[in-house]
Amino acid sequence: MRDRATEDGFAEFTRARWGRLVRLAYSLTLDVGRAEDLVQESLAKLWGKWPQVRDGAPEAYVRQTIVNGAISASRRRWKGEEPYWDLPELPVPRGSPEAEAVDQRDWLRRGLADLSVLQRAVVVLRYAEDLSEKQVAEILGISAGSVKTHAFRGLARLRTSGHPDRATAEEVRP
Amino acid sequence: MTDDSLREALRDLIPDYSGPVDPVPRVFATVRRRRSRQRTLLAVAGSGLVAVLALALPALLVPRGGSGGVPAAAPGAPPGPVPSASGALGSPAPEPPVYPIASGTLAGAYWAVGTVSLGPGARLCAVSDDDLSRSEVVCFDGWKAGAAPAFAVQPLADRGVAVTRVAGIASAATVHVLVRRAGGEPLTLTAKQTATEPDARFFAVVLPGTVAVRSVTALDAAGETLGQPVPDPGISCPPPQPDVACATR
Repeated sequence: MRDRATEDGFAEFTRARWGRLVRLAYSLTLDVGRAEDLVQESLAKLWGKWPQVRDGAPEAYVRQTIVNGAISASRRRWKGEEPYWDLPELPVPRGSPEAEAVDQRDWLRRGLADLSVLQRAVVVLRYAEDLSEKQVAEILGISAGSVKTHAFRGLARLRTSGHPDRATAEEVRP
Repeated sequence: MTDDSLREALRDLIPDYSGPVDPVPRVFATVRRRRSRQRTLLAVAGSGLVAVLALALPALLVPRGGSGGVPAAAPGAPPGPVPSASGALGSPAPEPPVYPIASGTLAGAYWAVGTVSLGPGARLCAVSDDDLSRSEVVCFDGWKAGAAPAFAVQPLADRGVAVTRVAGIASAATVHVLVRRAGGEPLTLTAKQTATEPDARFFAVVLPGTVAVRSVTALDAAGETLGQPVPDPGISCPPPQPDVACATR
Protein backbone atom coordinates (compact mmCIF):
# COMPACT_ATOMS: atom_id res chain seq x y z
CA MET A 1 0.00 0.00 0.00
CA ARG A 2 1.44 3.33 -0.99
CA ASP A 3 0.76 6.54 0.81
CA ARG A 4 -1.01 9.53 -0.61
CA ALA A 5 2.17 11.59 -1.01
CA THR A 6 3.74 8.82 -3.12
CA GLU A 7 0.66 8.64 -5.30
CA ASP A 8 0.46 12.40 -5.67
CA GLY A 9 4.12 12.55 -6.64
CA PHE A 10 3.55 9.97 -9.35
CA ALA A 11 0.41 11.75 -10.58
CA GLU A 12 2.33 15.03 -10.78
CA PHE A 13 5.14 13.36 -12.72
CA THR A 14 2.63 11.79 -15.11
CA ARG A 15 0.86 15.07 -15.81
CA ALA A 16 4.09 17.01 -16.27
CA ARG A 17 5.75 14.52 -18.62
CA TRP A 18 2.82 13.08 -20.59
CA GLY A 19 3.05 15.40 -23.60
CA ARG A 20 6.81 15.09 -23.91
CA LEU A 21 6.71 11.30 -23.59
CA VAL A 22 3.94 11.01 -26.18
CA ARG A 23 6.05 13.09 -28.57
CA LEU A 24 8.97 10.73 -28.04
CA ALA A 25 6.74 7.69 -28.52
CA TYR A 26 5.17 9.25 -31.59
CA SER A 27 8.52 9.83 -33.27
CA LEU A 28 9.20 6.12 -32.77
CA THR A 29 5.78 4.72 -33.71
CA LEU A 30 4.52 7.48 -36.05
CA ASP A 31 1.00 6.88 -34.77
CA VAL A 32 -0.63 8.99 -32.06
CA GLY A 33 -2.87 6.18 -30.79
CA ARG A 34 0.02 3.74 -30.48
CA ALA A 35 2.19 6.43 -28.94
CA GLU A 36 -0.39 7.14 -26.25
CA ASP A 37 -0.86 3.42 -25.56
CA LEU A 38 2.88 2.97 -25.29
CA VAL A 39 3.25 5.86 -22.87
CA GLN A 40 0.27 4.65 -20.86
CA GLU A 41 1.79 1.15 -20.56
CA SER A 42 5.23 2.54 -19.77
CA LEU A 43 3.92 4.81 -17.04
CA ALA A 44 1.94 1.90 -15.60
CA LYS A 45 5.21 -0.06 -15.45
CA LEU A 46 6.92 2.93 -13.90
CA TRP A 47 4.30 2.96 -11.15
CA GLY A 48 5.45 -0.54 -10.17
CA LYS A 49 9.01 0.77 -9.76
CA TRP A 50 8.12 4.22 -8.50
CA PRO A 51 9.43 3.82 -4.91
CA GLN A 52 12.82 2.71 -6.26
CA VAL A 53 13.22 5.22 -9.09
CA ARG A 54 11.34 8.36 -8.03
CA ASP A 55 14.40 9.92 -6.39
CA GLY A 56 16.70 8.83 -9.17
CA ALA A 57 15.85 9.20 -12.83
CA PRO A 58 12.21 8.24 -13.39
CA GLU A 59 12.14 9.91 -16.79
CA ALA A 60 15.12 7.88 -17.96
CA TYR A 61 13.38 4.71 -16.79
CA VAL A 62 10.15 5.50 -18.61
CA ARG A 63 12.03 6.66 -21.71
CA GLN A 64 13.86 3.35 -21.83
CA THR A 65 10.57 1.47 -21.41
CA ILE A 66 9.04 3.44 -24.28
CA VAL A 67 11.98 2.79 -26.59
CA ASN A 68 12.06 -0.92 -25.73
CA GLY A 69 8.30 -1.12 -26.20
CA ALA A 70 8.49 0.55 -29.61
CA ILE A 71 11.30 -1.77 -30.72
CA SER A 72 9.49 -4.90 -29.49
CA ALA A 73 6.24 -3.82 -31.15
CA SER A 74 8.00 -3.25 -34.46
CA ARG A 75 9.40 -6.77 -34.34
CA ARG A 76 6.01 -8.34 -33.86
CA ARG A 77 4.53 -9.51 -37.13
CA TRP A 78 1.01 -8.68 -36.12
CA LYS A 79 0.76 -5.11 -35.05
CA GLY A 80 -2.97 -5.05 -34.53
CA GLU A 81 -5.55 -2.92 -36.22
CA GLU A 82 -4.36 -0.52 -38.89
CA PRO A 83 -6.94 2.23 -39.00
CA TYR A 84 -7.16 4.08 -42.27
CA TRP A 85 -9.19 6.96 -43.39
CA ASP A 86 -8.98 9.66 -46.00
CA LEU A 87 -7.88 12.93 -44.52
CA PRO A 88 -9.53 16.07 -45.80
CA GLU A 89 -7.40 18.45 -47.79
CA LEU A 90 -5.86 21.06 -45.56
CA PRO A 91 -7.00 24.58 -46.41
CA VAL A 92 -3.41 25.81 -46.38
CA PRO A 93 -2.26 27.90 -49.32
CA ARG A 94 0.74 26.39 -51.08
CA GLY A 95 4.00 28.22 -50.43
CA SER A 96 2.83 29.69 -47.11
CA PRO A 97 4.91 29.08 -43.96
CA GLU A 98 2.12 26.78 -42.68
CA ALA A 99 2.24 24.74 -45.86
CA GLU A 100 6.02 24.49 -45.60
CA ALA A 101 5.73 23.28 -42.03
CA VAL A 102 3.16 20.66 -43.09
CA ASP A 103 5.45 19.56 -45.95
CA GLN A 104 8.39 19.39 -43.59
CA ARG A 105 6.50 17.24 -41.08
CA ASP A 106 5.18 15.01 -43.83
CA TRP A 107 8.67 14.54 -45.21
CA LEU A 108 10.09 13.78 -41.79
CA ARG A 109 7.35 11.26 -41.01
CA ARG A 110 7.96 9.48 -44.29
CA GLY A 111 11.70 9.61 -43.78
CA LEU A 112 11.46 8.21 -40.26
CA ALA A 113 9.12 5.49 -41.48
CA ASP A 114 11.81 4.41 -43.98
CA LEU A 115 14.42 3.94 -41.25
CA SER A 116 14.88 0.72 -39.36
CA VAL A 117 13.44 0.93 -35.87
CA LEU A 118 16.93 1.03 -34.36
CA GLN A 119 18.06 3.82 -36.68
CA ARG A 120 14.87 5.72 -35.86
CA ALA A 121 15.39 5.25 -32.13
CA VAL A 122 19.00 6.44 -32.38
CA VAL A 123 18.10 9.51 -34.44
CA VAL A 124 15.22 10.45 -32.14
CA LEU A 125 17.16 9.92 -28.93
CA ARG A 126 20.24 11.74 -30.21
CA TYR A 127 18.49 14.68 -31.86
CA ALA A 128 15.04 15.10 -30.32
CA GLU A 129 16.02 14.04 -26.80
CA ASP A 130 19.55 15.46 -26.94
CA LEU A 131 21.11 12.38 -25.37
CA SER A 132 24.78 11.58 -25.71
CA GLU A 133 25.97 8.57 -27.69
CA LYS A 134 26.81 6.86 -24.43
CA GLN A 135 23.31 7.44 -23.01
CA VAL A 136 21.68 6.20 -26.21
CA ALA A 137 23.92 3.14 -26.14
CA GLU A 138 22.85 2.39 -22.58
CA ILE A 139 19.15 2.73 -23.39
CA LEU A 140 19.35 0.53 -26.48
CA GLY A 141 21.83 -1.94 -25.04
CA ILE A 142 24.26 -1.50 -27.93
CA SER A 143 27.79 -0.11 -28.14
CA ALA A 144 28.56 3.58 -28.63
CA GLY A 145 30.13 2.63 -31.96
CA SER A 146 26.86 1.09 -33.11
CA VAL A 147 25.02 4.23 -32.05
CA LYS A 148 27.40 6.26 -34.19
CA THR A 149 26.88 3.94 -37.16
CA HIS A 150 23.08 3.92 -36.83
CA ALA A 151 23.01 7.72 -36.46
CA PHE A 152 25.22 8.20 -39.52
CA ARG A 153 23.21 5.81 -41.69
CA GLY A 154 19.89 7.06 -40.38
CA LEU A 155 20.73 10.69 -41.09
CA ALA A 156 22.14 9.86 -44.51
CA ARG A 157 18.94 8.05 -45.38
CA LEU A 158 16.76 10.85 -44.06
CA ARG A 159 18.70 13.40 -46.11
CA THR A 160 18.22 11.43 -49.30
CA SER A 161 14.53 10.71 -48.75
CA GLY A 162 13.13 13.62 -50.76
CA HIS A 163 13.39 16.59 -48.46
CA PRO A 164 10.78 19.23 -49.46
CA ASP A 165 13.54 21.83 -50.01
CA ARG A 166 15.12 19.59 -52.63
CA ALA A 167 11.79 18.85 -54.29
CA THR A 168 11.09 22.55 -54.55
CA ALA A 169 14.52 23.15 -56.04
CA GLU A 170 13.94 20.39 -58.60
CA GLU A 171 10.49 21.71 -59.46
CA VAL A 172 11.79 25.20 -60.33
CA ARG A 173 14.76 23.88 -62.31
CA PRO A 174 14.26 24.83 -66.01
CA MET B 1 19.25 19.75 -43.36
CA THR B 2 21.42 20.77 -40.43
CA ASP B 3 21.46 18.99 -37.09
CA ASP B 4 19.68 21.95 -35.52
CA SER B 5 16.89 22.03 -38.06
CA LEU B 6 16.48 18.25 -37.73
CA ARG B 7 16.26 18.67 -33.96
CA GLU B 8 13.62 21.34 -34.37
CA ALA B 9 11.68 19.33 -36.94
CA LEU B 10 11.68 16.22 -34.73
CA ARG B 11 10.30 18.20 -31.81
CA ASP B 12 7.65 19.70 -34.03
CA LEU B 13 6.50 16.38 -35.43
CA ILE B 14 3.07 16.58 -33.75
CA PRO B 15 2.66 20.28 -33.07
CA ASP B 16 -1.06 20.16 -32.41
CA TYR B 17 -1.04 17.31 -29.90
CA SER B 18 -3.12 18.25 -26.89
CA GLY B 19 -3.61 14.84 -25.26
CA PRO B 20 -6.11 13.95 -22.58
CA VAL B 21 -7.20 16.56 -20.07
CA ASP B 22 -5.69 14.42 -17.35
CA PRO B 23 -3.65 11.34 -18.25
CA VAL B 24 -3.58 10.01 -14.67
CA PRO B 25 -6.92 8.14 -14.80
CA ARG B 26 -5.78 6.49 -18.04
CA VAL B 27 -2.51 5.35 -16.51
CA PHE B 28 -4.20 3.93 -13.44
CA ALA B 29 -6.79 2.15 -15.50
CA THR B 30 -3.81 0.47 -17.21
CA VAL B 31 -2.16 -0.32 -13.87
CA ARG B 32 -5.34 -2.01 -12.73
CA ARG B 33 -5.78 -3.91 -15.98
CA ARG B 34 -2.18 -5.14 -15.83
CA ARG B 35 -2.59 -6.21 -12.21
CA SER B 36 -5.81 -8.02 -13.01
CA ARG B 37 -4.18 -9.80 -15.96
CA GLN B 38 -1.20 -10.85 -13.86
CA ARG B 39 -3.46 -12.23 -11.13
CA THR B 40 -5.49 -14.13 -13.68
CA LEU B 41 -2.36 -15.65 -15.16
CA LEU B 42 -1.14 -16.61 -11.70
CA ALA B 43 -4.50 -18.10 -10.84
CA VAL B 44 -4.62 -20.09 -14.06
CA ALA B 45 -1.00 -21.18 -13.70
CA GLY B 46 -1.57 -22.13 -10.05
CA SER B 47 -4.73 -24.07 -10.70
CA GLY B 48 -3.09 -25.72 -13.68
CA LEU B 49 -0.27 -26.89 -11.46
CA VAL B 50 -2.70 -28.19 -8.85
CA ALA B 51 -4.71 -29.91 -11.56
CA VAL B 52 -1.56 -31.56 -12.94
CA LEU B 53 -0.60 -32.70 -9.46
CA ALA B 54 -4.11 -33.91 -8.78
CA LEU B 55 -3.99 -36.01 -11.93
CA ALA B 56 -0.42 -37.19 -11.48
CA LEU B 57 -0.41 -38.00 -7.77
CA PRO B 58 -3.07 -40.74 -7.77
CA ALA B 59 -1.27 -42.39 -10.66
CA LEU B 60 1.95 -42.30 -8.71
CA LEU B 61 0.28 -43.55 -5.56
CA VAL B 62 -1.80 -46.31 -7.10
CA PRO B 63 -0.74 -49.52 -5.35
CA ARG B 64 1.16 -51.81 -7.59
CA GLY B 65 0.35 -55.42 -7.20
CA GLY B 66 -2.28 -54.54 -4.57
CA SER B 67 0.09 -53.89 -1.71
CA GLY B 68 0.62 -50.65 0.20
CA GLY B 69 -0.04 -47.11 -0.87
CA VAL B 70 -3.27 -45.20 -1.08
CA PRO B 71 -6.18 -47.17 -2.44
CA ALA B 72 -7.27 -46.05 -5.88
CA ALA B 73 -10.67 -44.51 -6.35
CA ALA B 74 -13.36 -46.97 -7.13
CA PRO B 75 -13.87 -47.37 -10.88
CA GLY B 76 -16.73 -45.24 -12.10
CA ALA B 77 -16.69 -43.04 -9.03
CA PRO B 78 -17.14 -39.34 -9.88
CA PRO B 79 -13.95 -37.37 -9.76
CA GLY B 80 -13.61 -35.12 -6.77
CA PRO B 81 -13.34 -31.38 -7.13
CA VAL B 82 -9.98 -30.08 -8.19
CA PRO B 83 -8.94 -27.35 -5.85
CA SER B 84 -7.54 -24.23 -7.39
CA ALA B 85 -4.79 -22.09 -5.99
CA SER B 86 -6.96 -19.03 -5.85
CA GLY B 87 -10.18 -20.69 -4.88
CA ALA B 88 -11.74 -19.58 -8.16
CA LEU B 89 -10.43 -21.27 -11.25
CA GLY B 90 -9.07 -18.69 -13.61
CA SER B 91 -11.37 -15.97 -12.43
CA PRO B 92 -9.93 -12.51 -12.98
CA ALA B 93 -9.12 -10.30 -10.06
CA PRO B 94 -11.95 -7.93 -9.30
CA GLU B 95 -12.05 -4.55 -10.93
CA PRO B 96 -12.06 -1.65 -8.49
CA PRO B 97 -15.43 -1.61 -6.77
CA VAL B 98 -18.00 0.66 -8.31
CA TYR B 99 -20.60 2.05 -5.93
CA PRO B 100 -23.86 2.94 -7.65
CA ILE B 101 -25.20 6.45 -7.27
CA ALA B 102 -27.93 6.69 -9.86
CA SER B 103 -29.50 4.68 -12.66
CA GLY B 104 -32.52 4.71 -14.88
CA THR B 105 -33.86 4.09 -18.35
CA LEU B 106 -33.92 6.60 -21.16
CA ALA B 107 -35.27 5.98 -24.66
CA GLY B 108 -35.40 2.30 -23.78
CA ALA B 109 -31.72 2.23 -22.85
CA TYR B 110 -30.43 1.53 -19.39
CA TRP B 111 -27.99 3.99 -17.83
CA ALA B 112 -26.05 3.83 -14.62
CA VAL B 113 -23.45 5.96 -12.91
CA GLY B 114 -21.33 4.89 -9.99
CA THR B 115 -18.29 6.08 -8.11
CA VAL B 116 -14.89 4.51 -8.36
CA SER B 117 -11.43 5.15 -7.08
CA LEU B 118 -8.83 4.34 -9.72
CA GLY B 119 -5.66 5.55 -8.03
CA PRO B 120 -3.68 8.68 -7.37
CA GLY B 121 -5.13 11.71 -9.03
CA ALA B 122 -8.21 9.67 -9.87
CA ARG B 123 -9.76 8.89 -6.50
CA LEU B 124 -13.00 10.80 -6.70
CA CYS B 125 -14.43 9.56 -9.94
CA ALA B 126 -17.85 8.97 -11.40
CA VAL B 127 -17.93 6.15 -13.90
CA SER B 128 -20.60 5.25 -16.40
CA ASP B 129 -20.90 2.00 -18.23
CA ASP B 130 -24.26 1.64 -19.83
CA ASP B 131 -26.25 1.36 -23.02
CA LEU B 132 -26.16 5.08 -23.78
CA SER B 133 -22.47 5.73 -24.17
CA ARG B 134 -19.06 4.19 -23.97
CA SER B 135 -17.56 3.75 -20.53
CA GLU B 136 -16.36 7.07 -19.24
CA VAL B 137 -14.69 8.27 -16.09
CA VAL B 138 -14.96 11.79 -14.77
CA CYS B 139 -12.76 12.57 -11.78
CA PHE B 140 -13.13 15.40 -9.33
CA ASP B 141 -9.83 15.16 -7.53
CA GLY B 142 -9.39 18.94 -7.56
CA TRP B 143 -12.48 19.22 -5.37
CA LYS B 144 -11.77 19.76 -1.65
CA ALA B 145 -13.92 18.38 1.17
CA GLY B 146 -16.55 20.91 2.21
CA ALA B 147 -16.24 22.96 -0.96
CA ALA B 148 -19.12 23.94 -3.26
CA PRO B 149 -20.32 21.25 -5.67
CA ALA B 150 -18.21 20.48 -8.71
CA PHE B 151 -19.80 18.81 -11.67
CA ALA B 152 -19.44 17.90 -15.30
CA VAL B 153 -22.05 18.07 -18.02
CA GLN B 154 -21.42 15.71 -20.90
CA PRO B 155 -23.53 15.85 -24.03
CA LEU B 156 -23.38 12.36 -25.56
CA ALA B 157 -24.59 10.77 -28.72
CA ASP B 158 -22.37 7.69 -28.89
CA ARG B 159 -25.16 5.19 -29.46
CA GLY B 160 -27.30 7.32 -31.71
CA VAL B 161 -29.37 8.84 -28.92
CA ALA B 162 -28.58 12.39 -27.86
CA VAL B 163 -28.47 12.61 -24.07
CA THR B 164 -26.77 14.77 -21.47
CA ARG B 165 -25.08 13.23 -18.49
CA VAL B 166 -24.59 15.34 -15.37
CA ALA B 167 -22.35 13.97 -12.64
CA GLY B 168 -20.83 15.74 -9.71
CA ILE B 169 -19.58 15.84 -6.16
CA ALA B 170 -20.74 17.85 -3.16
CA SER B 171 -19.93 18.25 0.52
CA ALA B 172 -20.88 15.66 3.16
CA ALA B 173 -23.68 17.90 4.47
CA THR B 174 -25.45 17.76 1.12
CA VAL B 175 -28.53 15.57 0.94
CA HIS B 176 -29.95 16.76 -2.36
CA VAL B 177 -28.81 18.96 -5.19
CA LEU B 178 -31.01 21.22 -7.23
CA VAL B 179 -30.12 21.17 -10.91
CA ARG B 180 -31.44 24.17 -12.84
CA ARG B 181 -31.50 23.70 -16.57
CA ALA B 182 -32.40 25.84 -19.51
CA GLY B 183 -35.94 25.23 -20.71
CA GLY B 184 -37.08 22.84 -18.01
CA GLU B 185 -38.20 22.50 -14.43
CA PRO B 186 -35.44 22.31 -11.82
CA LEU B 187 -34.53 18.77 -10.90
CA THR B 188 -33.85 17.56 -7.40
CA LEU B 189 -31.32 14.77 -7.23
CA THR B 190 -30.30 12.71 -4.26
CA ALA B 191 -26.68 13.14 -3.28
CA LYS B 192 -25.30 9.77 -2.21
CA GLN B 193 -22.47 8.84 0.06
CA THR B 194 -20.41 5.93 -1.15
CA ALA B 195 -17.40 4.05 0.17
CA THR B 196 -15.26 5.84 -2.39
CA GLU B 197 -15.10 8.95 -0.20
CA PRO B 198 -16.94 9.33 3.11
CA ASP B 199 -16.46 13.12 3.12
CA ALA B 200 -18.27 13.62 -0.15
CA ARG B 201 -21.65 13.04 -1.72
CA PHE B 202 -22.03 12.16 -5.38
CA PHE B 203 -24.92 12.85 -7.71
CA ALA B 204 -25.69 11.98 -11.30
CA VAL B 205 -28.49 12.01 -13.83
CA VAL B 206 -28.90 11.43 -17.54
CA LEU B 207 -31.32 13.71 -19.35
CA PRO B 208 -32.83 13.34 -22.80
CA GLY B 209 -31.46 15.62 -25.51
CA THR B 210 -28.72 18.18 -25.28
CA VAL B 211 -29.44 20.07 -22.12
CA ALA B 212 -27.80 23.26 -20.86
CA VAL B 213 -27.37 23.18 -17.11
CA ARG B 214 -27.55 26.63 -15.58
CA SER B 215 -26.51 25.83 -12.03
CA VAL B 216 -26.30 23.23 -9.30
CA THR B 217 -27.18 24.08 -5.70
CA ALA B 218 -26.42 21.92 -2.69
CA LEU B 219 -29.32 21.38 -0.25
CA ASP B 220 -29.17 20.06 3.31
CA ALA B 221 -31.59 17.62 4.99
CA ALA B 222 -34.08 20.44 5.67
CA GLY B 223 -33.99 21.55 2.04
CA GLU B 224 -32.02 24.69 2.90
CA THR B 225 -29.40 25.79 0.42
CA LEU B 226 -25.79 25.17 1.30
CA GLY B 227 -23.88 28.03 -0.28
CA GLN B 228 -24.44 29.72 -3.58
CA PRO B 229 -25.65 28.00 -6.75
CA VAL B 230 -22.68 26.86 -8.79
CA PRO B 231 -23.06 27.87 -12.42
CA ASP B 232 -22.17 25.45 -15.16
CA PRO B 233 -18.68 26.55 -16.13
CA GLY B 234 -19.33 25.39 -19.66
CA ILE B 235 -17.94 22.03 -18.96
CA SER B 236 -17.93 19.08 -21.07
CA CYS B 237 -15.32 16.48 -21.50
CA PRO B 238 -13.34 18.02 -23.18
CA PRO B 239 -12.77 21.01 -22.77
CA PRO B 240 -11.07 21.09 -19.38
CA GLN B 241 -12.37 22.51 -16.17
CA PRO B 242 -9.92 23.23 -13.33
CA ASP B 243 -11.23 20.66 -10.87
CA VAL B 244 -12.58 18.07 -13.26
CA ALA B 245 -10.68 15.54 -15.30
CA CYS B 246 -12.19 13.37 -17.97
CA ALA B 247 -11.10 10.12 -19.50
CA THR B 248 -12.47 7.26 -21.50
CA ARG B 249 -11.69 3.79 -20.26
